Amino acid sequence: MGVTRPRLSPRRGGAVRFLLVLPLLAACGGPSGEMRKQVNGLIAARDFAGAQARIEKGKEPSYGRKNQVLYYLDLGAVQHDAGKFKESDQSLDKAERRMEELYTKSVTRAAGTLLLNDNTTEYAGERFERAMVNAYRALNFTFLGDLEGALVEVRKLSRLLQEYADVYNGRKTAYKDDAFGQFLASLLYEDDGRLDDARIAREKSRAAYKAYAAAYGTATPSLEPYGGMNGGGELVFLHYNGVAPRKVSKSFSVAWRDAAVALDASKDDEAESAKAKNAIRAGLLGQSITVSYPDYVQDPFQIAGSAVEAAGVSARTELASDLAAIAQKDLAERQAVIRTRAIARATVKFVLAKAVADEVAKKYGKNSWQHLLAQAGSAATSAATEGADTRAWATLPAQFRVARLRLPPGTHDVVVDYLGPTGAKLSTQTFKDVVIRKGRRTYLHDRTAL
Amino acid sequence: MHKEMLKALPLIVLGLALSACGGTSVHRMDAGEVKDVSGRWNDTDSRLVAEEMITDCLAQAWYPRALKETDGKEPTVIVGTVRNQSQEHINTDTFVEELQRALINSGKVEFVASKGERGEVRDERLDQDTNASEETRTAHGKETGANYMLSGTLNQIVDQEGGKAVVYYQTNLKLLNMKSNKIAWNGQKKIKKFVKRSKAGW
Repeated sequence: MGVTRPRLSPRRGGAVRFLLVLPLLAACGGPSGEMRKQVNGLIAARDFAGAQARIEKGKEPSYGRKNQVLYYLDLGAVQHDAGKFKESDQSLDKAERRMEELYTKSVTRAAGTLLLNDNTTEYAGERFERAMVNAYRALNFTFLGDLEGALVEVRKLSRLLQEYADVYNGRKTAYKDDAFGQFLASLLYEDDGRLDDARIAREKSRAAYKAYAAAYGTATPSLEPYGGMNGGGELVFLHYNGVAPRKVSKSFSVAWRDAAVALDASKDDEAESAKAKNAIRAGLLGQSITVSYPDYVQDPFQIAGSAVEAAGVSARTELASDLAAIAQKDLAERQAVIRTRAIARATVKFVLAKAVADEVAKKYGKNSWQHLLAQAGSAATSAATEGADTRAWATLPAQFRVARLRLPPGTHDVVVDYLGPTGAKLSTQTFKDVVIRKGRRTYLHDRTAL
Repeated sequence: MHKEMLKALPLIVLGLALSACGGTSVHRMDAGEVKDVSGRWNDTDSRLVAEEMITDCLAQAWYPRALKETDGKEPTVIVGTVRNQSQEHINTDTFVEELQRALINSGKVEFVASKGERGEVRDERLDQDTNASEETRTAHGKETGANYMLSGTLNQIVDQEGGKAVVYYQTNLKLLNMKSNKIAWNGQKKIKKFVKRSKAGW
């Protein structure tokens, strides 16, 4: 009779308990990079219906319960681009309400995610994303012809930005106000005849643009109307340009015994491949901690600007908000905290994995195959669950650009030329029969992602 | 230390898993019941503010003066626009309806239709000109004009920090004499709510 080797029992030992803990540490990080690229491709092709369908198809499998805010943000922006302003507002309202609820949990959230993977928490949005919700909603109501509704959103945005100013004043953080949001507020207040409110918003916008110049390298736009026609109306053309930068997961390994940090990451790792690489690397090293952190990658887009022409009056759009720069700067400012938290989380996982291995060693011996397997496997599993939070509002544009034209009253065709970096015309879009009324503003928007 | 951590963690996982259970339940309630859920402006606010302000309006000095001017005949009132200047998307049409209802039910004024309603009625008269028999047509130009117009604004101030907020609503209404443009009555109703959102997140 041969000697029977004892087997690892699933009902005993730390391995089972370790597996129970994994869901807390594992990622459920929202739509994949591949899906984001698909959606951006559809937007670039002006297939907004296709983009919407792709997002809706992924509601459960790609977004899931913890990313409903992200789902409604992505959906709301695409619906807006498609001119479905009512539906867009319904989506963004759902996102905003949940964001408000999650805001009150941010105090306890900060403590909770010290140990938990960021991806396990419900996505609440970045600060600038939160402000953009109200900006988009104000525009939704504006395009629906509901100025009162637009002003509600403007007031909400004003309160939010005041809160940012109160909380972040004195701190080394760039995003304390939103220049574009304040500019939009000034126009809408003016439309409503609230000239004092308009003046205040305009002054805040100018102050914010000065801060933008230093923080984001955004030149202060004039944003004044072109054309000298008196007694006419005004066209405000809003060009949403480019694609928002993508968040990716990057990682580095910390050798446990040497207590040395070694950057060992591939560039532009997607979250999924990063986890696989982490697992392989950790499996080989055995005694190392793998730490992941998010970073932004800007996918290229060709259109750099635009020129608007109607009734013989023409103007180039000016950069009113560089969302890509805002996003990247905001993340950079928080990177130290993110990495510290990631290291703490990875350390806890290392301790847990080591505890499992120690239990197995005690039971089967340090030189047993079970111990070696547990040691390598636990470390690899820990690394596989280490992924940065790469969630972001992916359907935002990279830029908001604005042109204002004074036009005679009547119906006009508005021609927009989209320009490359050298000023060469890449494409043209014509908006037929745009009505300009005397003494009134008409708002028009277009979305490019090419 | 390691063993203690490992022993505790499964219980935590189990607790989190159980907290996800739940479903939708529906409970019927009386339409007049007060039920504050989100802390936002709701039907109760609309009804209470309208009733209280109309009661106050009709109790003020302008009313007996108006009766005297019309030899005891009830003054005719129209409700104009109530503008929403808050930070919430409040359906002011509902509030206007509440004001109208309170005015009509008071029995102290005659009430005429709003601009939108009059437009609809006038369209109907135009249709009657074409399609109705002569003896059943309603003539144009015989509407009762209002003596007074009631209009106003709904304002809001929010003072918030974290999950705690004090939400202050102020409704201002004015009753204007259509003939003299004088403000016959200026009323104000304030509502203050303390809204606290739970921090429990897990």
